[in-house]
Amino acid sequence: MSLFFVGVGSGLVTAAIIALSTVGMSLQYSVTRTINFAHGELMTIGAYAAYVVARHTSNVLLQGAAAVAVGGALAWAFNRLLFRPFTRRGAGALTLFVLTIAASLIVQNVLEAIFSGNFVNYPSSASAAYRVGPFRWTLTDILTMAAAVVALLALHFTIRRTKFGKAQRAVADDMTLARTTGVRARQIVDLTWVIDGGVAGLSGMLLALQVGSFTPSLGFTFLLVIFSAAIVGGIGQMYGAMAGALIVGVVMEVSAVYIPPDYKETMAFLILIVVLLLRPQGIVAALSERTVR
Amino acid sequence: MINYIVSVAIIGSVAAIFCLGVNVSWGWVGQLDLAFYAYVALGAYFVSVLELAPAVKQQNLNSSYILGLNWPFIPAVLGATALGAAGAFIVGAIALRRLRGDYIAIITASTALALAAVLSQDSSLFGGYIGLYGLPQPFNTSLHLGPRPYSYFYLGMCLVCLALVYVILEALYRSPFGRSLRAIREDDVAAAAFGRKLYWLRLRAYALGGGVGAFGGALLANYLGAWNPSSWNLIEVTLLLSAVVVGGRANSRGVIIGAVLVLSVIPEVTRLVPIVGGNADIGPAIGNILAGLLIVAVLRFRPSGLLRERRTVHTGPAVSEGITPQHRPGGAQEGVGV
Repeated sequence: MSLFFVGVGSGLVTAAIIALSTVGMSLQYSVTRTINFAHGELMTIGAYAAYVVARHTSNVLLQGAAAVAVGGALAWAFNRLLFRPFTRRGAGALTLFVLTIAASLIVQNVLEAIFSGNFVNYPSSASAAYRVGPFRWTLTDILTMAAAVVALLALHFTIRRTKFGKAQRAVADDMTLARTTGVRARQIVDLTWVIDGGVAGLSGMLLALQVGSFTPSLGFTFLLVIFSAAIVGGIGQMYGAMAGALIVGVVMEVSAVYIPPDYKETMAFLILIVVLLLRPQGIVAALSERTVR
Repeated sequence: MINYIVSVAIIGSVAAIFCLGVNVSWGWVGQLDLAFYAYVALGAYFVSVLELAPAVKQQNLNSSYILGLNWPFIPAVLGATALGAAGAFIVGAIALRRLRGDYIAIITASTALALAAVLSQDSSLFGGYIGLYGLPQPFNTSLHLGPRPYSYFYLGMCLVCLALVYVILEALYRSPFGRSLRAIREDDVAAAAFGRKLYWLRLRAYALGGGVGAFGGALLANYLGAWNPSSWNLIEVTLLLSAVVVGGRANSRGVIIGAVLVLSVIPEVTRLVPIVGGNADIGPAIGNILAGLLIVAVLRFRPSGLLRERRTVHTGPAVSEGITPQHRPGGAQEGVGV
């Protein structure tokens, strides 16, 4: 039983990382209606940015800031260089999706050209595990969850309480209608991408902290888990994404207690398939209902 | 030098077969299959376990495999092709339930990632990380060729296989089946209204593409003589997509040209890039970056690819009446139109 709680404990840590990344993806999807296959690369570049800073300073806040900034910048570039020129010419969703595949290929290989395909070690101070109730967490674990909770709360208030959030929800709901009522849709989409990249970059850094060493395919291989959480939560739904992340993260880590941990990703895949077969619109009633042709 | 050229040509012709397979799902029907490389791997794994002798339990190696039937080359390749197609059929049966393109892409990508994880970690199915090795050289027990003549022979065989795949797929493309698939791609609602069973047609096309991939995988594994998780990488499916986009979707000749350009010319040229700072990955990385940039450039400036899909215009009363193609009095006229 105590092992079960250890599993739940590390599940919550994994869920925190997944939640950040999936919420970013959902926000971006809500305004573009296109799945970003290069979303994993936003995480990867965040991890590498933090890694480069970590080689110079052990200040975790600076490392996090680098991850957020570089992730946000890359997402901004995706929007400006790929999405906008093509949507302006009326490109379909599938064309945009293929473009994001190309972007994934390019970013992974640029990182490989710079850092090589070998593993790099994230310099972090090893820390002892603390007992918190039935759970057992290291300082890194607690830091990871704290960072995720703070970032998600900040996002929640931004989307629910600010003028930008109101406009963002309007654009996600109906871009044309939002535009006619004077919302600057282009800027909103821009900013949504930057937020997406920022939180994804942060989650990439947290993932790198957890796994310790990584390669340019860090985020790409994590994509399955993100997709799984996004589909479980109902794609494009911010709060659904959080719920999906919690389910996927906890199931993955609890399963690792009972079956070989190598099969964690396979568990995420099983959840994905089961949800698609039983409740394809996701657990939170889907906003995508309208977009189904 | 000549050995080098022959090996590049063999890999190139196998890659062209892969791209023709990708083209079935993506070019003909417009469904983005990101699990394609998993079918290539399935074909390679299955042809290996069909050809190899039964696994011997070794003391120091925690690696084993299923089957081990000692089959000869041709039945093994056919069996691997069928099993690869069956795998694609199962995945497609789930993925194609939702008709939205991005869902298909998500499920196929996830399937491939999960399959890669299972096949490399489960050491009892296909040898896990160690993989399978020691495949016999096809036909060489009766031919007794030396290494160099044998490589010529293998190249010839691959080219014959490529021609075979090309001819079969071209015939299917022109057949009522192929025409229905294109109808679905252009307007699925109209195709359904004209009595096409969308799900079933899409599923058959998906399994066909997977089968072609498994066939190519079987050829590749026999050429390499071994197959393990490091022989295939999911990101490679993006290179295949790139080849198809660049060559021209739904144009088999264009697809072959794209395959040669993206999968043979670019990697061989970037091989010449010097190693900088001890980073041996820089050459292949630049090749992949070029392939990615090529996708963007082609989609931007020439969305139909180097060779356009041949337009077909169907004339005669059948069009307005909406009868199934088999019953059309005049049949379809190919090559008319812009």
